[in-house]
Amino acid sequence: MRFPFLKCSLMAIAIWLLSCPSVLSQNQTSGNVNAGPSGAVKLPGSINNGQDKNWAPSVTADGKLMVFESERSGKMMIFESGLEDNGTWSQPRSIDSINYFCDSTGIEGPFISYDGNQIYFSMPSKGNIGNEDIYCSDRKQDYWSKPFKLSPDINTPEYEGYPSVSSDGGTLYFNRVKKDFKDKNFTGTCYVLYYARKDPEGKWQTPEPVPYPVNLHCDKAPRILPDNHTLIYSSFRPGSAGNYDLYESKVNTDGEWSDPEPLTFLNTQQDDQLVTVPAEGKILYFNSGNDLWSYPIPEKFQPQKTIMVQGIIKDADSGKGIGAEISVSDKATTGEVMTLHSNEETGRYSLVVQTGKNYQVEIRKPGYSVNTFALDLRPVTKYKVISKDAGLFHTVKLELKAQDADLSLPLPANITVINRNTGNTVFSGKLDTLKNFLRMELPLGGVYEIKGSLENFSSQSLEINLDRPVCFMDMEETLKLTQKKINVPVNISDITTGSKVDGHITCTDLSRAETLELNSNEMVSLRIGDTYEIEAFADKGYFFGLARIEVQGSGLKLLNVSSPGAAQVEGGNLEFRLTSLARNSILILSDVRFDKNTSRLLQSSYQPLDMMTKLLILYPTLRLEIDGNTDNYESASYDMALSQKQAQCVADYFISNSISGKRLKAAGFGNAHPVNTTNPEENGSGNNRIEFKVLEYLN
Amino acid sequence: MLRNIRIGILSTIFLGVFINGRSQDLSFKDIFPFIETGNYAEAVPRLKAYLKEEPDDPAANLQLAVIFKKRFEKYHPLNQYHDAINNANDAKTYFLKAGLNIDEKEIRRNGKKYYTNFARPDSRGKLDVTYNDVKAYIDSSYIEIDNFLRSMPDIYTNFTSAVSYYDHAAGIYDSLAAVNDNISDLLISFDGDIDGRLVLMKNYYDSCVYFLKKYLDETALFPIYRNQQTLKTREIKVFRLDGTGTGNPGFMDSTIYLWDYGSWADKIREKGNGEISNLNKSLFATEEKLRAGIELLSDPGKLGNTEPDLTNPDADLIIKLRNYDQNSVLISLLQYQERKQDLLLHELNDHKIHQDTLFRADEGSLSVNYAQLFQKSLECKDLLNRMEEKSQESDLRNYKAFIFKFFSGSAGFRQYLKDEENFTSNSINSFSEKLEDLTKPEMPDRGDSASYAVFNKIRIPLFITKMDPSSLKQDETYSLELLRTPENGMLISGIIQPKKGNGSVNAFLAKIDSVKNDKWMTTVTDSAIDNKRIVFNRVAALSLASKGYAVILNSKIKDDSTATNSYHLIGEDGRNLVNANLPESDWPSQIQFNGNTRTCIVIFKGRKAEALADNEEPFTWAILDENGIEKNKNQASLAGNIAFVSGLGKGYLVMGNYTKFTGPDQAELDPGKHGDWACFGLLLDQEGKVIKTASFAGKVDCHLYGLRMINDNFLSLILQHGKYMPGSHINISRNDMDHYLLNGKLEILNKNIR
Repeated sequence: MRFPFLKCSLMAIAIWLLSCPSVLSQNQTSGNVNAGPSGAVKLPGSINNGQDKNWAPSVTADGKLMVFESERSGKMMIFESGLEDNGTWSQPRSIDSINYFCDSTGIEGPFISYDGNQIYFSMPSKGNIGNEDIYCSDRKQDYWSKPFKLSPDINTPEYEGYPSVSSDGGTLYFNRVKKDFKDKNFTGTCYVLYYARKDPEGKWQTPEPVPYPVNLHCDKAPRILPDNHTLIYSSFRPGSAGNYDLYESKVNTDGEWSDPEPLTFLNTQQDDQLVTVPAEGKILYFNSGNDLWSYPIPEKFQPQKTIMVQGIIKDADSGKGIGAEISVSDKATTGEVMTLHSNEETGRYSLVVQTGKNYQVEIRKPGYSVNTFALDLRPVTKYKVISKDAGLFHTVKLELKAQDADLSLPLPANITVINRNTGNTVFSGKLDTLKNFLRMELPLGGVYEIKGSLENFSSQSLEINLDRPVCFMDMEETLKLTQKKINVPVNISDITTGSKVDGHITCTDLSRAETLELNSNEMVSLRIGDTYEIEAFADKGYFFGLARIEVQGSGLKLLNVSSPGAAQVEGGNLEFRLTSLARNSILILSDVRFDKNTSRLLQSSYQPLDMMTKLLILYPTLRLEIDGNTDNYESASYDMALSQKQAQCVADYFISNSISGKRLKAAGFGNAHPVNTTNPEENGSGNNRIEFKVLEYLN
Repeated sequence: MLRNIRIGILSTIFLGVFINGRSQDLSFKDIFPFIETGNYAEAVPRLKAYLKEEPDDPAANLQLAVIFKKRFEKYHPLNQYHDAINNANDAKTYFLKAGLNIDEKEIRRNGKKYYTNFARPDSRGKLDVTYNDVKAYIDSSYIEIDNFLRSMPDIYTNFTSAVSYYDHAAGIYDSLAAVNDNISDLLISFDGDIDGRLVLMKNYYDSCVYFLKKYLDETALFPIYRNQQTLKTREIKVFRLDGTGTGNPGFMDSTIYLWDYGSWADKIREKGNGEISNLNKSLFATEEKLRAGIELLSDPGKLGNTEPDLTNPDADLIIKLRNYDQNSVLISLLQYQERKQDLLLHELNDHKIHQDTLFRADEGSLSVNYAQLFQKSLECKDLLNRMEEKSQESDLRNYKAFIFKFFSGSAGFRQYLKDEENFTSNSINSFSEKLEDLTKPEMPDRGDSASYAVFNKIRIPLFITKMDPSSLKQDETYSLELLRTPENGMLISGIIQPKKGNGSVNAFLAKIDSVKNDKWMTTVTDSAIDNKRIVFNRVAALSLASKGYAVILNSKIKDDSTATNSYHLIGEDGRNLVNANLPESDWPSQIQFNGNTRTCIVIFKGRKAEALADNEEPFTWAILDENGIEKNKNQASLAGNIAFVSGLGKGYLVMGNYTKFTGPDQAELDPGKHGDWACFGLLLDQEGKVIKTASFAGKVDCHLYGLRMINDNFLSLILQHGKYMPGSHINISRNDMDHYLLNGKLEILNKNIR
């Protein structure tokens, strides 16, 4: 390269030419003020109706809602218009609560917050004519609130105007008048840009001038873009194309501002001011002449890449929008990046965050649950809108069950819930086992002790601490209660000799369908309060025994025995005394009973008969005679016939359960063999019975 | 290189002239107020601009170094790490540069430039700046910053690694909590995927703790907080409450409380790979055996004469399943298959029974057998319904592997349910039809025509004879009711108007044995009434009792429009053991003795023997003891008739037909919208109080045709289409009847409405 110095100088000249605003902008806009700059698109007739003067547009971060200032019949008013899905702007609607609040000509520079929840603007201070102050109106469900003046920290007795608020809601930019500025070429009012930050309580702090190199000359009408780094404002400074031209500066994390860059593609010889840029950062809206226009932003001037998250935060129970705090933190460190709030009435929020980072978003409100979601924008390079609604709840829906710790069966436990913070009993009642659960709502903020108890069971407690961030609305917990038990030895012996017999015992808990198997002469752990049916089968050569017992804290209570003398409770033991299957041995099954004067078995007969079926299956060589016996009903022939029918009915039952009829013999004896001769006619005398006599048993 | 430097310098100079013309006016003096007031946002760009013109200005370099040092100290070393590092690097650079350019001469010459940071009173009290102070500050600051720059990257890396790993662990926990409503759901659905995630979770958590400890060790050597942070762990006890949230356990707080995801993962994995894995193995094995059993029983050819070795689900398996999923679809499945096995086995045995030569195919035994099979089928249906309710994807999700292996997925499972529903419905219908066939109409026993018994020359027809009370033939016996006794004998009640006497009509009872030999005959009279006043005596209702026969005698008395009723207990030998007057004067249509309670129920309806089915009449039932003492009485209102009365274990069942029924509580029973006539059932306790009233209707008018009480908890009921007409029982086809199966609570188990 022979002339590097020259080449470099030419490059520098070229750069200077580009940075000098007047040259190009004059060419672009000269004599074409109302037509707008080349490449600009005029907004449709719904906004630019050709009659009214429109300016100072401001859009929400999603670009879907615009407010702007319009002179209608000589009165300055603020209007809002929405961007329809088909790309057109809706018919503007007067924001009456602001327009009727303000003096007829005083509204200046409306700015809608990027989340759409506030409109800031300036107007002559009520009661202090000649000075302007900054006001704000909040979005309500269907309207905008009556405007209120910002705090005295912002609004001094001097002029404050052209507010603009960062997308995180944390910084307010505006301008005041610079009084001591003198320049023979400048005839207008000189302004200086200020910014104020919100403290954690939401109060604006004392404003400070935007530092060097901004504010070196006359700067006004700041508009902070949704990235919170890029500021476009109007500046009169050497090199301006007109009085005020548009410039852009960016701020870094140290609070240092970049050198102002003129928006040469937009600046004219008129005063240029008040552009607005949605979060996508590709187009800007501005006014030229009496109309509003859009213009594609050259890449160099585009704000930092962001994405937008928007949605509605609702009360999960009522479905109504609520105001909540939205905290964005850096996932790498958990440090907070920004905090903003959803609208108190609509719950609507918009969150603009820079791409390239990994965030955690946490939505919270005192007395409500916490909703969190991750926002990993590290791989994201393009703008996008993420919709994220959140429902916050203020009570946890707890589904409580109680079950037997051993059998996993539902228990009708008594439930008490105490709020430890207040000492109040929140709930006291019984768990319905039909439904199998108890559903209760526990308000957040309490620490609850849930206690389950039931007679004969050890109680169990559970702590549910809701005095902390809670994420899940539905919870299911199970209290597992253990039933108290006593150990009972169960023995089998021969009813005649009293000698021990080997066999096995089956204990069926009638209350809980639990079945325990053990060998004879062993210990079994039985549940206090329950009723058991206990079957005893010898390993060989004996009829069975069946007893029904109730387990009490003090021991066993014998409720029923299958045959007389077959079981007894002795000193806490359950003793089965079984009849051997020796030829002609007889067993009476007390529970095998019939409807009076019929051979129709009562339901209660089936169980002992099923046991006898089991015995017959167990001992294939066993042959039985089934003897029917009656009370002294009527005549001997009558009783004989009835007892024969009853015996046959029992035999038929065995046959229907796969026992061969060849092994059975049914016989009726009427009242010929009464077991109760003292009072044989009494009902319940025991005479009416079925006896099983061993015809044959080959061991 | 030199050429490039020259280009850079020249470009800078060239540009410096033009760019907005702002820096040429800067002087250190102008910047000083911003430095003094700590307005670094204003001071720093100005100082930088100034240094572009005076790059070696020692004071400007030092001021910038001081500002950058203050900034990096202001920034949170973790949260604003990059800003802190950038400022520390800048500070280090400027300190280095300042150190190179500041000497004693500079301090002597421009001492005032250093007043802001270094002025202190000298021995005479005058503010002064010494080179040594400046030099010492530069040196110490340089070392401090250098230490920061050397220590912080590792601290930051360890810290952010810990944060990241914790976040990952918390993320896995949250993802498990999001899809499992409780810990049991998580455990029962434990599989390789969950295990893998828990392993990862544990690793993440352990890595977090590892890096956090390193971070804490490093910050102990290079403190970044006034007090050293401490680390504590918290046990996850309540699923979906503990361990959830922001994933931030206070990493920048004085105490970091970590949820112990590692131990939690270990605990779940231990259960998952132990108890749950064993449970699954047992579940799979049981299912395979049950399937094999069902397959064998479904094909009797394969079974031959061998007894099938059937599997019942292990109780422990059911308990464990229930522990994790109280209403598990698989519990219902196993129980269904167990019952299906049982059902198939009973069906097989049913065939065998019919082959047994010794078996007497008594209708009673058959109906008991079919009732059992029907109830087993119903249990199967109930279990299928339960499975149906729990066959959504969310329910089956917990048993992915099982459902996939045995049903090829959830769609296959639902198809299985459909198939089994067909099987069960067929069983239910089949046994219901068999029971229907065994349910005969309650035809009045009309006896054997042309057959007589003779008692003391009095010939008594052993059949029901027609009788017109207004034109009775004297000395002729009229048999009005026959009662078969269990030994196949017969009790006959009737009337006779003797020629001798005052023309009154007498009631008699007679008993014959099974070969029609006469046993005894007796006249039943109410001893409380003077015989001369009797116009017409008649045994209105008759029942077997424990010591003979319970009888209600209806007596019409001269000059009295109302009738009188009396209770009699007639012994087996024909003697009148009890004679008790009853206060009711309505027609006593039924008496039924209940051997279990040793009481009897007497039903009174209307004034006359001929039931006025269409008119609403008082309907009274009284409970009497064996001595005829009335214990309780209730009254309803009925347009219809009483067709059936039976004693139950602990009460009574009354059934009949009605167009209007108003209970003792004045509640009306709705006969349904399809017709005027329906059947009613009245379940009474042993004191006669109403336990339940139920209506059984068809698509059209219908009335009770047949009833079989298989036991006290199972009834088969046939309704005949058409309005109730006394004596309208005829043989009808199945299309003209509806069939109900009821339990002892009068709940409908099955119905076949045609």
